[in-house]
Order: sequence, then C-alpha cells, then structure tokens
Amino acid sequence: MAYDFEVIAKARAGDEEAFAALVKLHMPYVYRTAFAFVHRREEAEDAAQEVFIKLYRSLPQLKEVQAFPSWFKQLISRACLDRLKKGDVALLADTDIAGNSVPSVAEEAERRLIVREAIRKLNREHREVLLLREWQGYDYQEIAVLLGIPVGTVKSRLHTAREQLKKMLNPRGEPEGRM
Amino acid sequence: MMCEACWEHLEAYLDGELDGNEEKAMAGHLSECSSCQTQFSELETVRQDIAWAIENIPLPAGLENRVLASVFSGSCILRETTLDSGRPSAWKTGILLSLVLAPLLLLLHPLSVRVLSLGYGMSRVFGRGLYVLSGAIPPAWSMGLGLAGLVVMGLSMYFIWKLVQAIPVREAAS
Ligand SMILES: [Zn+2]
Repeated sequence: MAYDFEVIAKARAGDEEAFAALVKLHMPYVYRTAFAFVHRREEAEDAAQEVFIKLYRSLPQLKEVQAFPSWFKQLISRACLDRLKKGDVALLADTDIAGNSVPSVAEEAERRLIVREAIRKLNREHREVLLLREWQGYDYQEIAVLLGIPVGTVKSRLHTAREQLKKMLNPRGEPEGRM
Repeated sequence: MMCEACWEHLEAYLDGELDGNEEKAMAGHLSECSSCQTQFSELETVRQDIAWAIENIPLPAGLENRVLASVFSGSCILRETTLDSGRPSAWKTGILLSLVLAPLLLLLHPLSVRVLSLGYGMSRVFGRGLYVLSGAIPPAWSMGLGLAGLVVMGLSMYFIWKLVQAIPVREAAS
C-alpha cells in the first residue's frame, strides 16, 4: 500500500474531501483483503464499509500520522477476523468464483481462480493465519497477539496451511508451471 | 548444516524469523543444496501465488461511492448483514426496559402487598401439593422434566445475553 501522509493529516482534521481521497486510495486493498478472508462479495463489501466507518470515527484520535499504516492495517485485520468469527462464511459457497470460471477464461485468470478457491477451502484457523502472514505480512508475534494464540500455534497452523495449499495447487506433485 | 535441520527452519527463514547466525547458516546451505533450494522456492511460489490471486480480485462497481455515502450520512445505514440487522437503538432499549421495570414500583402499594401475601399463602399450599405429586411421579419422568427445565433455562439465558449484547454501547455513550 502507498500512503499519502498529507492527505491522512487533512482527513484526521475533518476534511471530507481528504477522507474521500483516502477511501479511493485504500479501497482496493481493503476490499480485496476482506474478500480473501470471507470469500463472498456482499460480506466483503460490508466489511469494507465497516472498516471505513471505523476509520472515519477513530481517525481523529490517531496521534501520530506516521503510525497510520500499521494502525490501519490492524483495523482492517480485526474487522475481517471479527466477520470470520461471527458468521459461517467459511462454509458458504463462493458464488463469485464459480460464476467466473467459464471455460473460455485465459489460463492465467484460471490459475488465479484456482488459488483463490484453494484459500477458500482452508478452514477458518488456517486461512486466518495464512492471510495474516502471506498477504498482510504480519510476523509470528503480531499474529499471535491478533488471534490470541501462542506463537507455537501460529507456526504449526501456518505450516499446515502451506502444506494444504501446496497440495491443492499441485495435486499430483507436478513441478510448478508458473515462474 | 544437514538437510533435516534445513527443512525444520525453512519456513522461519522465509518468514524472516531467524536470528543472524541461523539465517547465515540457512543461506549457506540453500546456496549449495539444490533439493532444499527447490523446497524453498516452492514456499516462495505459494506466497507469490496468494498475493497475485488476491491482487486480481475484481472490485465491485460503485463501491467507493456507496461507502462514502454511508460514512458521511452518519453511518446510520450501515448495511450489516444477518446478526446486526435487528439491532435496537439505545433509546428503544431504554424505553422498553423502563416499561418492563415500571410496574415493579406498583408492588409497593398497600393493596399489592395484600395481594402478594395472599399469593404467598396460596403458593405454599400449591407447593405442598406439588411436593406430594412429585413423590408419585416415576424418577425417570421427573429426571426428564428437570433436564428439560435446565435446557429452557439455558436457552433463556442465552437470549438475554444476546439482547444485552445488541445494545449499541457507542450510541448510548454519545
Ligand atoms: Zn539440503
């Protein structure tokens, strides 16, 4: 994510135009992150909306503008984790992915869908840890705090999640096609 | 370093969780062992695949405007699904609670005290009758009734808890 600290400071002071710019800049990351966690369009939209409403309410309390990146990232993660905890989103079919996978899509796009489908198939515990580490880039300690579990559990869940993902992406142990 | 030790630390190495010496040892082994290097690049590929797949999730049209509209309208139309849809406002909850609690004050009236004492006497008679009756019921039945009672109690406590949770704290404070 790229940050514009001048815009953040303005938005913090109550400038609505600056806040709109903030939404525009960060919406792709927020929505896609939410989608990766919950795997349903409506649920991800609601999560994105919740994130920005919380941002609007709590931004005036942010003391250091420089702290925004990690503060905002945590706000996003917590909103996603809460949603995952609240609903059985993990059990619902991913209609968006199913709807998109028509035979005519290019190979690359198909590969993306396969990866997303594989992430969706992970259970909640494994998906959480995997996304927090591989997509959001938290370290083990930060993940342990976010999830309220020991670092050892973070490591073992991450290991299982990676193993399962590898297996799903290369079912017959074929060498990687991409790269 | 042996391959077994390398496998053990492969993920921690990828995640940047090793200390300086361990990291050096890993880098050294990976540079000369092609089979461990292959495993390592598999892990890297998983990471790249994830990032690449998420970065390409299509964005719904008009999402920004919908979000901005709800943010600037005081966030009242927060379209939260299922669990939060029936969330009562602090005002409604307060009025409802006082409506429920107000009749309790009437109990202090002399007439209601009389009625209560009458009810107390009758309930003692009723209680005795119930006691005698319970002796006549087979133990298995009374056990079942007791369990059913417990379940109902548990359920009602759950619903009360849900209701209390649904009271919006933030709105009540502002
Ligand atoms: Zn080796």
